[in-house]
Amino acid sequence: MLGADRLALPGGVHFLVGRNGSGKSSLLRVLAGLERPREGTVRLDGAEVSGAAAWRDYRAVSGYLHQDFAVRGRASVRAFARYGAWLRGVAADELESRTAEVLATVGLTDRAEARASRLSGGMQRRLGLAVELSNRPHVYLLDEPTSGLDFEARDAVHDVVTAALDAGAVVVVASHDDHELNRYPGATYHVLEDGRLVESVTGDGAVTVQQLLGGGR
Amino acid sequence: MTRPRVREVLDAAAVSGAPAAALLLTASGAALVFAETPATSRWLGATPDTGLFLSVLSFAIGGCLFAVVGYLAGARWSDDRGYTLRRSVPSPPRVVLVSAGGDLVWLTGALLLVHLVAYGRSATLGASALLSAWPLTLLGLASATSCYAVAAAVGTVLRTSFGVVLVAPAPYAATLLAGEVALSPRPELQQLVAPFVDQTWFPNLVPAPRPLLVLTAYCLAVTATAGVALVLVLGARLHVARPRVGTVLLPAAAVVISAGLVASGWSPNGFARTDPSGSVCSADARVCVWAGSRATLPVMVAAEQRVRAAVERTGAPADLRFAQYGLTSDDTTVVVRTSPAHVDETDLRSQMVAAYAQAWAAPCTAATDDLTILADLHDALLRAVEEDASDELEPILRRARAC
Repeated sequence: MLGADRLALPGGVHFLVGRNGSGKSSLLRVLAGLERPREGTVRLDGAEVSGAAAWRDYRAVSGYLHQDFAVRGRASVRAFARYGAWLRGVAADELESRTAEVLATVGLTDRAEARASRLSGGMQRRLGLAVELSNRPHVYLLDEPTSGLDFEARDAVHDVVTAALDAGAVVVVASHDDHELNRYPGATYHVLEDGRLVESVTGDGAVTVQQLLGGGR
Repeated sequence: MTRPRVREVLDAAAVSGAPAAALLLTASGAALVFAETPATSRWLGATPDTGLFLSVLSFAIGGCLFAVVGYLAGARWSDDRGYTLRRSVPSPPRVVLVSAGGDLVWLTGALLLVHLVAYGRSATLGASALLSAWPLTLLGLASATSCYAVAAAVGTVLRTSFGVVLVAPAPYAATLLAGEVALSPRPELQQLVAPFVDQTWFPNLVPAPRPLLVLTAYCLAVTATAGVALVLVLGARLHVARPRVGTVLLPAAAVVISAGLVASGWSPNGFARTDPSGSVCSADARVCVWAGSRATLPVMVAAEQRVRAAVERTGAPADLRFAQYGLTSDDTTVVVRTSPAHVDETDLRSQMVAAYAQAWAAPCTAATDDLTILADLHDALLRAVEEDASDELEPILRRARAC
């Protein structure tokens, strides 16, 4: 990815917009620490994230939801979320309460004992979100979080993002969904093309992917 | 950093699907154990043989399931789609340990349950001193665990669930291959693997702890090396702290050293030693068995007396003695095979009759390659034993003496 090191992401919602293959997911993966940037650096609050310890600390304050998030195995929703919370660094004595909290946030409390892999795609996405919420991140990295979701599930994602914004978090969303682009007033849209950041604009009304990619509004 | 508790370990196992694999392992192991019939089993009723059977089963069958769970765990640790190890806050080695620990709690628990069932059934059929087989149990668990670790390392590299079809049959295939080697005409190759493949240890043998423990150490070292390797692979892909040099070299050195010990210490039946409990014989010393098989002695004595009576009716000397393998001391003592859990007097009589027939026919068969007299002698003597009639036997015996 070229040029992405110029991308600044202050608190608020940031949409990454671009055609397929433009680099949205790759940028999110770099921000999530899943890929090393070919050049440039990732900085959190001005400090470069470099070295194993810094990345570990960064992972502790960031959440990343993969666009193809999938649940395997035979674990219950509660066990899956609880183990995910442990992976996110939640202290052992807080695991139960934090798990209950995040399952309630995404509306899965009544499905807590169901087998996670048997949930619908939308429900699984909610569960993935619950896991990412468990360490109360400051940075949310969401790759197509509402793709394929019904309205109820989309609202659940929206509620989570709104709550995160109220808490002052940075939310970075890769999306090509016009409806989602307009749910957050004041959002910033970063247009990517062939792996380059070509434009960043702040929305003040109705925007569409087509307008953004066409270079005009 | 928080320390993992039992809850996290069990959660990790639940996510991996290890409980299902454990259930399958228990069911298949129990099915194999109960499929054995005492009359034909080569291991039911004898502790060393049961231990050997279980050590082979642990690797050949258990190893496959351990490998499946391990491979999927490795692939999952590398997977970005779920909540991945690579984005975990606890260090990768810690997550690997917790996750693998959860898997192994289930799998080894299932394997131990199969051991319990097998030893339990074997004990009801006469096996004693069950604790003496502990080195074989340890070896079985260690070899299955090494399958898990190696498969997990492979899964970490391949990262796709489909690769599981490659690793799943590997332990079973390796066992079959070892069987082929064991049956090869080259004795040095047979010596290499025979103790593990041949499920019929002779009744005079019991497990020898030292070489078995060396092999167990080898399996554990392989496990540790594979574990370090997969953490290195994961670490190379991402921003994680690299293990210290000592962490890498120590298990690798253990592999080399233990493999060297295994190779240098290998010998025929190197994993067994002669039963220190000795033998027991009939009052006239015509029949001897190993102390562990003393329950078979009365049946063997009865068989020998009946055969001897038929032989003596012909006027021929009844000069053969019978003993289990390892107790033969001279040319007149013949080995008889016995099933550990079921002694059939008719079968024993047949073996003893065959021994007399061979002794009587030896001058003829050596001179003419004509085996018909051997068959005739065998059939006639058997009828003499079973029907108390030796009319048919005497003319054939005269024919044999004329050779």
